[in-house]
Amino acid sequence: MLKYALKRILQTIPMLIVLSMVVFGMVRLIPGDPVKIMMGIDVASDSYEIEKERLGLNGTIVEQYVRWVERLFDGDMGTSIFTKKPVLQEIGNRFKPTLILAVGGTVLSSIIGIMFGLLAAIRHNRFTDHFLMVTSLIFVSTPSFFSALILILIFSLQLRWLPSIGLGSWKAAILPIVTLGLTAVGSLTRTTRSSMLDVVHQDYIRTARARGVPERTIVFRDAFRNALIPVLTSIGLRFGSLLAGATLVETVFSISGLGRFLVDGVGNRDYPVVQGTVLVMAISFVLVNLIVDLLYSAVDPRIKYS
Amino acid sequence: MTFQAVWKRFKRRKTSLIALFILLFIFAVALVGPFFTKYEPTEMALKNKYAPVSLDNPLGTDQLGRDTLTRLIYGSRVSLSIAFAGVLSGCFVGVLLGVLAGYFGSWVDSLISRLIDVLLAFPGLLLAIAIVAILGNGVLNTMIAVAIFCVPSMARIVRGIVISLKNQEFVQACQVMGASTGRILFRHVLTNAMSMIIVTVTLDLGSSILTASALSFLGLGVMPPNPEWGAMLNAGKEVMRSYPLGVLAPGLAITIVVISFSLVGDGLRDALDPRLKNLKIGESQ
Repeated sequence: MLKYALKRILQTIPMLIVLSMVVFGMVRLIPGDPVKIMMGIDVASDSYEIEKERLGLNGTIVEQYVRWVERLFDGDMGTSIFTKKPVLQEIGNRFKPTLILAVGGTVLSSIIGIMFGLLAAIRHNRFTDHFLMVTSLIFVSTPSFFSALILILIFSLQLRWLPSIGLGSWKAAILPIVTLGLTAVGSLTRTTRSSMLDVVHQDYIRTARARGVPERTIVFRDAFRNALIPVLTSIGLRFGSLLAGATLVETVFSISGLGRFLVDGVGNRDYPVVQGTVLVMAISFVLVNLIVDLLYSAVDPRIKYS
Repeated sequence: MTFQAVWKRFKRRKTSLIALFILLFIFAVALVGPFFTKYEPTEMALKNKYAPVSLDNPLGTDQLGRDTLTRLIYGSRVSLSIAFAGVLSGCFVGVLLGVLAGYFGSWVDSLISRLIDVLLAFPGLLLAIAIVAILGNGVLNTMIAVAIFCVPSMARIVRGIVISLKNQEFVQACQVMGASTGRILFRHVLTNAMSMIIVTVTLDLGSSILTASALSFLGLGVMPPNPEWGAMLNAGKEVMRSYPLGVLAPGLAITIVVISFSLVGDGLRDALDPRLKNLKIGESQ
């Protein structure tokens, strides 16, 4: 167990290195002279070399990368071209709303998804099952920015129950979190259902039935606990999509989060901001996956790792 | 398996059949619809803004007096061509990488697998946004973003299939009989992976519509006044209170197309190979 955990943690390191190279390389892939694009300065201008150095674009590409990583470890992600503030500080200010959305959405979708999935599996091939599968298909297929607008139309504009802007109060948080959560409910319902149906056909369940264990105990103690492993992985993966998907919800509800920061950065061609936010989001995703992997090796001792 | 046999099995699932007809109808509308519309998609008529639903404007008009049905029909062209061009080219690259990695193994596999890992380290929409950040907006760049979005999952799936096929007796027999690598790959390995590839392409089409419209909704993909469905939603949200149809029409269009692709994909999977059970639509949001 400890050996596996250590190995899994070590495996993440090359991943993070390659990831940092890709994010670093992003700016090089932009057609044209990055200094010119970002600062609007002509090559002939006197301040060209100064700006080039300030953006860390002088020297060979290897030198640039090493310097960039060194600065990262010092907590320096460069300065936003648009707001002139340090990128890391800006990200710090905007991380909380996105985290609230992603965590809230994950918790909500896990509760609903697991409940739906369990119910569908227990009532396999009956009306409840079909109904829940159709519902989850609709949830998966509706773009979050569309369901957000529908929810605003109903609960903010018509009924006037909930605000449609910001994340200031718990009341304001309801619609954004529900919107984001709904996108993940469908896939979690399906994963839970199919995982339960797989487990139910295993020998040890048949043995439990033969021994006369009550159905309720079989479903919740024997089947559900074992069916939970693929569901956990799925929740971990979903968390990443919700982190990125929060971008759309932040846009609709005018929440100043990380995703909105990224989109504005792309719009303003503010590349230090784009690099910083992409890096932070991707690293969070990799780390969450690592934690999930470690968690389920703790939950299920049967998992063998090679 | 012959086409007839697949079709016979596909027909049995009524929901998939209905979804297929819905898709065919929408394809037809996208192809010939623009010849029948009374207006131009960007034609403004400020005197006629927020026109109610009528025979002249079956879905009303938006804040600039543009006919929503016309825009929806032209938009289907934009949205569907981005999805098809993007997914087909992305999946082509994905299949190629998957076959190379799976068949040749060793350093080729390591290299390609690491590439896939890195692409998959960007959660969902983030990859698409990052690509558009590099390339800039516009129809073509949205297509490229969709294409790259499809590469890693397809490559991973094909790689897995090729590895499992490579060690089977019929492939080894071909090698012993002296068949060329190209012949083995295209004639034997790829044909056996085909059903999985077709199903993945169908499901990817659905998620690509979601991704492309999300990019346009964020103002990073197809730009207004081009009537892409996501861009229409973005324009419609500002005036949602006075003209809800401007949001409902494109939103429902996206949802219906995505659901249909998903159902057709499920039907195809059952018809082509009932053993492939656990492939699901890749959520892009």
